[in-house]
Amino acid sequence: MKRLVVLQDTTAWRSLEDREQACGSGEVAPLDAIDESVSRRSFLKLMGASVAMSSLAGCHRPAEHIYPYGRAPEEVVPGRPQRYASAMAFAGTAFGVVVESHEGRPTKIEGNPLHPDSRGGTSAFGQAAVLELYDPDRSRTPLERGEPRSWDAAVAALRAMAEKLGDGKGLAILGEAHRSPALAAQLAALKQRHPAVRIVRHEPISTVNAQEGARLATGRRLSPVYALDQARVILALDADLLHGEGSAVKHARGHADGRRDPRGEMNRLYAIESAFTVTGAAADHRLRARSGRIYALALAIARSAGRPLGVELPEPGPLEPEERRFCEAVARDLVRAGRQALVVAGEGQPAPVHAVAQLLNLALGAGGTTVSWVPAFSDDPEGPEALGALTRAMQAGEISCAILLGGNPAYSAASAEFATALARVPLSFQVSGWVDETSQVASWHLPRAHWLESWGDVRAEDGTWSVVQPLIAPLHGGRTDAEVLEALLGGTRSAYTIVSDTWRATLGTQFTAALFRRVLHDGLLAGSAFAPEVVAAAAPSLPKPAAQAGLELSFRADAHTYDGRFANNAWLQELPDPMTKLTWGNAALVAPATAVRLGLADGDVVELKLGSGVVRAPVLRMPGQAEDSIALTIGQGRSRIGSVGDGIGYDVMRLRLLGAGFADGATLSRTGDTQRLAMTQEHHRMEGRPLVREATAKQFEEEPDFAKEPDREHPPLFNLWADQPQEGHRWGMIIDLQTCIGCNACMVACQAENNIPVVGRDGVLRSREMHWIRVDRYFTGSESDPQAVMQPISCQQCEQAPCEQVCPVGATTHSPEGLNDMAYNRCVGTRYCANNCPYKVRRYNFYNYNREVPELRRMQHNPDVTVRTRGVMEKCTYCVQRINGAKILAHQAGHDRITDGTVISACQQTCPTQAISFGDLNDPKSAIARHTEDSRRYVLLEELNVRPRSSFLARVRNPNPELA
Amino acid sequence: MSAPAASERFLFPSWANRVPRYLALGGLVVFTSVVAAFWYFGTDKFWRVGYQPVQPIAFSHKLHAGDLGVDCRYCHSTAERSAFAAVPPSQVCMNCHRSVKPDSPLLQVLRDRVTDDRPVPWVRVHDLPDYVYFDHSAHLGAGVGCASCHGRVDQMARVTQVQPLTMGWCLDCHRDPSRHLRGTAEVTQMDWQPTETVTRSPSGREVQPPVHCSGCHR
Repeated sequence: MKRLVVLQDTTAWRSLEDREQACGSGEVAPLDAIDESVSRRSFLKLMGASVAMSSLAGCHRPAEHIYPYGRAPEEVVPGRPQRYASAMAFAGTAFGVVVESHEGRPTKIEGNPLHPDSRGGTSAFGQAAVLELYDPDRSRTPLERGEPRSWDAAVAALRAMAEKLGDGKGLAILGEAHRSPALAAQLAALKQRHPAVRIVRHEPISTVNAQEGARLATGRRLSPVYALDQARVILALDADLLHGEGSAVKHARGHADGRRDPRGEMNRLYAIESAFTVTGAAADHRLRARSGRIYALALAIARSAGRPLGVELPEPGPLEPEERRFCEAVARDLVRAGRQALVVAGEGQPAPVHAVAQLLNLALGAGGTTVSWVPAFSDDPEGPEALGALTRAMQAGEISCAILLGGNPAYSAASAEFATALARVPLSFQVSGWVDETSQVASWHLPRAHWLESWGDVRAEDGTWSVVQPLIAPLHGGRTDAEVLEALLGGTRSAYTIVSDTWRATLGTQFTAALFRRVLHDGLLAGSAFAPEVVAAAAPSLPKPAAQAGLELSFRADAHTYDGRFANNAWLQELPDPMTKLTWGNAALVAPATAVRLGLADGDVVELKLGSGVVRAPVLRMPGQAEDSIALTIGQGRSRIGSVGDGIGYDVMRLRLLGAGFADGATLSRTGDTQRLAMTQEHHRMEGRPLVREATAKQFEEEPDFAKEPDREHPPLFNLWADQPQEGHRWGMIIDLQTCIGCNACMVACQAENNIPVVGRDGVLRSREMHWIRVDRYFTGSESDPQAVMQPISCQQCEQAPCEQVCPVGATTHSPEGLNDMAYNRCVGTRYCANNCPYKVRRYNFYNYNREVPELRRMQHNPDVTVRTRGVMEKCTYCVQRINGAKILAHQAGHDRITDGTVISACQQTCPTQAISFGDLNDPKSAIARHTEDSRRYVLLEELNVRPRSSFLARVRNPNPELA
Repeated sequence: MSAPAASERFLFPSWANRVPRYLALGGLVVFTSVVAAFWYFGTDKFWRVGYQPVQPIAFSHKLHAGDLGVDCRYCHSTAERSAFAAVPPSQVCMNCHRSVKPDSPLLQVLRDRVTDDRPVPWVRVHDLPDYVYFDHSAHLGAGVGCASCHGRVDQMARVTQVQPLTMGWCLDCHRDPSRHLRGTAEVTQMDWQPTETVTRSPSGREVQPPVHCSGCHR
């Protein structure tokens, strides 16, 4: 029988070098390319000195102290973590979270299973937010023109200004696009007292285009809310809805739920996009198109779908044959799905594209099933025009006092010359967690409390209302936006009172102390989602699509820093971009064909010009990138944020016309310089074996066990060693490639849970990154238009582990439950185990990465996991600390075994799509045991007979037969 | 060239004859020191058996736990619930000492600390390495008594380490815990003596302590 395995050595490739057969291993950076800060000679000297020091210090064991509480908090049991529900406002929505706290130190963030935007999962940003709390570079004191002042002085200055306000003319409040009813109530009170105050909302990456699109399509400013789990056919128009935009965690989960079982009905995802995104990688069909071309294609689809709602849409203009074929097939598929179809436009696309998407949704009858519309959160002006108008008013001297609540407009609105405008304002107060670019021009800087240390509230995209509750008192005495406004209003209420007053006023008689306690416990008010609006299509007159010319630049959120706010977060900076696998910086992504045409190679520094803006950036060739379109990310190249983020990457804010998602007419010139890019894609290779396996739905139907044995010759398997015991618990992990989208949340979750250090850019260039779980990205198909598959790899916990056989000191041994134990204190650092590991999952501490870590940052460490020192090997433990903790509790209750679902590994817990299952393979009722029966299950490198406990479920795509 | 002098006929000077002797002697010294060092690392002294630091308050377990018969868990209340048998908050001391000996000069440190809400800096006696994750609740739940590791604390005016707390010592019990297991009621009983071989925990489970690495190291 002909085997249908699609991915073989020749078809799956990890990088362009792979295809060109031009690279060796790419593993080791030549040493001369990297700054050697310590010479060999001084290193030996240091070594000698530290040996002498340590032997002297070893003579006396230092006395260690125990500091008990003076007065113990009621619920604290030392050694047992507590968990509190809260919410993280982010990207125009809010994620419900449950934060773990050890004796008052928040250490780990998990998703709140009750919250509709989390459903137990989190994103990489959510996972990394806890590191932000302990950032030593956070601002610690109010500053007036750079001089430290007390909060009392700051409040006095605010009050003095407020008393001269009158009707508020000349006062401007520029805030983030917050979704906090308590803050909205404060702003409303301010507006009531000073009616002429200008309130403007600004986000570098905003949902304002979607709202404007809804206004065009329906005549009202509404926010669309998507339910991907209800959808059978999804079309993403330059929208990275599974990873980069809006309620990505909810969308990823909904998308996965719609295709979890390839035997049943699977949804189908189409992506039309310029840059290769996570959504594009997850899509069944992907069409590359310049961002400026999306509008024409959306019109073509809408017209093929049959003139939605009788609205006359403009002509899309001429289409390429391939585009026409794609658009017509998509349109037919959307019509077939009817009310189970969904069209989503990306945040970077202008309002008319959103309008077309919403009109299509309305025409298909999707309103109420896959999409609903809720009122926009605030009526305050938002978006590029509003900020532009404010900036002009500041330039003209109309603003005498500006209050900036969060955000960093001097950086993010650089193309509008916001900084020079702000410098003209006589008095300005900036509330910010960091002394940043805007603090340099504001007359006052006020430290802002982190959301993990402040009271607040927030409504998610669909309206679900949560209380943000503090896990710790403000570490540096910061205050919240609402508290600053309270001072301005002359009040003395605490942040807690401001929040509870708002709730009391909103809920009226429904508000009780018991209800509020329930909200704090659950993390949300049940049933508080907005009622969906009844919507009818308006008859907008939409513009004709413009012709494209020259090079296009497209701008999207950076996978490391989002819009720059996480720039000082080392976990995120070192987290590889899901698609490019680039760490510590950003690059200008160009299509391979465009690179050939322009004579560009990876790392070539080019000068990009657009209007008056000029940026120098390194080039990275990206398969799947639309030709003549260059993808840039915003949020890097910060000049003033802290020791981690300063000077990382390049800043494109000067190129980006305020708030625009893309722009035409850029010019590119080579500078002759080159720059090394710290990418992990070539690290930890497993040398071209059929590691990812996938088939189409049709192939899967014909051959359900396609993944079982690829066409590989190997001799009969022979076991050199004694079999491991199979009684008791037999831990195993199964990762479903069907639902894994490669969002990297597991990598940060593992880092937070297991005290994994960062190694910095130099370390990554030397392949020394420490992540216990990595996500490998493979391309399939052609260089210009590939598909991508993601595969998370952590220690496979082999039963016949090659690492154990070669350890000379018995530091890695087998546990009766099947874990490859790693005893750090025995390890002498020969690294034989890593060399002998076929999966390349072992990580070595080349330096004492944890020694340099500031005391404050150490507060994040998980006390249940050893902090490793130099010279020690480490790797995934299946979160053995969680297994042991659960075992102890089960034993105390008199049970011999842990019940299924009690132990959840950190990666499994955070996974937005629930692609990871972990449990006892010996428990026939466990979720994982059911997966072992799946015909899609396969293990990596089976021919080695190392018998991994981790295995994978092969991916099944659901292509449209018309496009096959 | 002239012929070599008689003394130059020998390759080595005459003092070289003594070298083997010195070498043997030196080797003996090195050998003895290595043996002695290993010997010393194996002794209880190296493992701080008998370590008896001076505490900031002259708290006597002999008085409280022994003579007065206060149960261990009155103060170390988290021992059954948590990995740590937490040293009690100063407030717990004051529960009694607000009325018992409220003016004792020995308790001045305690009263000062309670007044200004600072912790009492007790000195840790039983100090395991940071890569060991000992769990009190697991051991008490299995029926291991306090005295098995901490000795007769009820007879100590100043707490002393009585066991070496080495991995070998841990494993001795983990391989055969039967001499240390008892009922819940006897867990804090200091003078308990094994009468029969027990293999089950108070909850009725067969006790099978881990002897693999990740049982304690993680």
